Amino acid sequence: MTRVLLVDDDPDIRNLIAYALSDEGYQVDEAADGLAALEIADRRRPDIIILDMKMPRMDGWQFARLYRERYDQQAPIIVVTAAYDVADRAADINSESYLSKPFDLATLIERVAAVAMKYPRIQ
Amino acid sequence: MNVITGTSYPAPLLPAANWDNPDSNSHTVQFYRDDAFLLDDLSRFIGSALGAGDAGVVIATKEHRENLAERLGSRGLDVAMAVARGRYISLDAADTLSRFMVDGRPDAQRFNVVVGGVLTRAEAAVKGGNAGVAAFGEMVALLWAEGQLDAAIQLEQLWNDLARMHVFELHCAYPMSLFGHSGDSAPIERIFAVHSHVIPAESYTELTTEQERLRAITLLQQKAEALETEIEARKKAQRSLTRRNRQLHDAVVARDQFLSVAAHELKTPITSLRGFAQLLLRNIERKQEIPEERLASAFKVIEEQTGKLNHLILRLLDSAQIEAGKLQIEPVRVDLPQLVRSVLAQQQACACNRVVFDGPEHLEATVDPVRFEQVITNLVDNAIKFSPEETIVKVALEQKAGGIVRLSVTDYGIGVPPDQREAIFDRFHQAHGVRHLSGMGLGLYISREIIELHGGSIRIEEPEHPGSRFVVTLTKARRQRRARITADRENMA
Repeated sequence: MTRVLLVDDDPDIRNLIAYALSDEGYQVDEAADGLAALEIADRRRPDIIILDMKMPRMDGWQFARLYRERYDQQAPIIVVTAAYDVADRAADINSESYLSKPFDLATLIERVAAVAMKYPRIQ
Repeated sequence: MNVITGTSYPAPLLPAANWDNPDSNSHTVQFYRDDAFLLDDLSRFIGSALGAGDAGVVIATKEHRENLAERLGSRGLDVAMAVARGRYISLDAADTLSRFMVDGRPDAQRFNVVVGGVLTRAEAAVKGGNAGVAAFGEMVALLWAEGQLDAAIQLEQLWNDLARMHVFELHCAYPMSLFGHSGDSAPIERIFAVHSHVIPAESYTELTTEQERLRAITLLQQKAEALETEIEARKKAQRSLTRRNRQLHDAVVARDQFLSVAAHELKTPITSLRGFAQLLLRNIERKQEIPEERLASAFKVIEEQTGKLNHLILRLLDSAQIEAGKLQIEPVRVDLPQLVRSVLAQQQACACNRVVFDGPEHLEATVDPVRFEQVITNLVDNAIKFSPEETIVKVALEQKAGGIVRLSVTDYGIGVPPDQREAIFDRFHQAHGVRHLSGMGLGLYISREIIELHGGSIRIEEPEHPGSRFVVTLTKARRQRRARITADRENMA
């Protein structure tokens, strides 16, 4: 089963995406910030990462940098942010794809499915 | 009468070496406003020279030369004959100028060849007797009109130098329109300095008696005085406009920034509201059973996020009312500690920071309970928002002498930089920038307005520890409301 690591400081958004993706058959791990996300990634290697950028403690940029330093085999990242310059931010961290908030749930699911098709599972 | 012709004239404006005999070698400058005046004067000057058997040299614009020839003719002079005999030499100013100008400066040697040559020819035509040469030139005025002030003065000097070798009476003319700015006083004095005689423009020279001239001078002095005053007033108005312009520009920048912040603030609630609606719709369309827990989450999101939206809208409305001067309060007798405790009870349910209250059991004051609660909520919300989770927030209420009530909210958070302590109460101002946490920059602005409507004041204090302390002071007597806005309007005027 494809494992998605969902990193967002808004619990409602995490809940929403987790419900939607588990309906589609993904296994979803949730983290409220970059630091928590690194800990989870250590224990259960994700196949896909959905990443918010603006978060307390450790933001999306820092997480992406540390994650890429730490692992040779890397999961593709989908940036989901309310920032107006979402494309630039996605490019900053060399992400696979991006979505701006508010997003359509269907688009998010399609995006995740497309990325899952393109990349082999890590485990 | 002697006042004018006697000692009160300034010392003669003669460049020392060149003017050994100013009577025969005078160099006069004539100012004029109207071409007709210049041409009248010029036809008199050249006409009487030619009439007396002297030679005339005119280096002028095409228009002036043609006009002059016409006027000389109507004075009964045979211009063609004078030209044929070499007694009247008329040259184009721009053309003559181009023959001795080198790199934007009059070349002395070329000038002597060109202009000196003309004078020699004129002298030769009237050789013998006491005949002299009357010359008129406006090449200097052409240079001046092109902004080549230095070149014009140099040219005037070259004419003066030429007086060492030739005997001639020279007239120059400058239109007054070349000196229409207040900064033209110094340059015009440079022109005075290279001439032996200065003839003012027609508004002065047309006057016939000394009394008329004295009155004219007095009027000019009055005009100068009035202009100085007006210039000062305009400078002041200009400064005030510049200041106002800057304020307006800042206001527009703040508003634009606010719009993007407000849009950002709306994104979060809309994202979850829309997302949960789409999630449930998907489930229904697929005829999936919706677990109760998921439904509960959805409704909780709807309830909370619409609450946030409602809060945003209310604050926007408050802000609009304040700007329109329509925000009103309805003060009644209220037990303040009870009001504070009820606010804190709502806060405790959701905040991770411990909020402690220090105050008397009862303390009555006349405030609008809804609006005052809004202020306390705003201050405590801010304290929590800008503090680490483990720190406490202190709310203190005390009665001071003279019926003064003091409410303070102290936190151990990131504090407010000293340079932001005034601006923090401005509309749309966010002390910690757009990227830090959330908010529209309206809370403190609205709080200050509410407190001032109560006749009180709100300010920020630096506590003895890191963090910030906001202090609300209420006095018994309600002060004049809207004082601040009135003052702002006065500053604009």
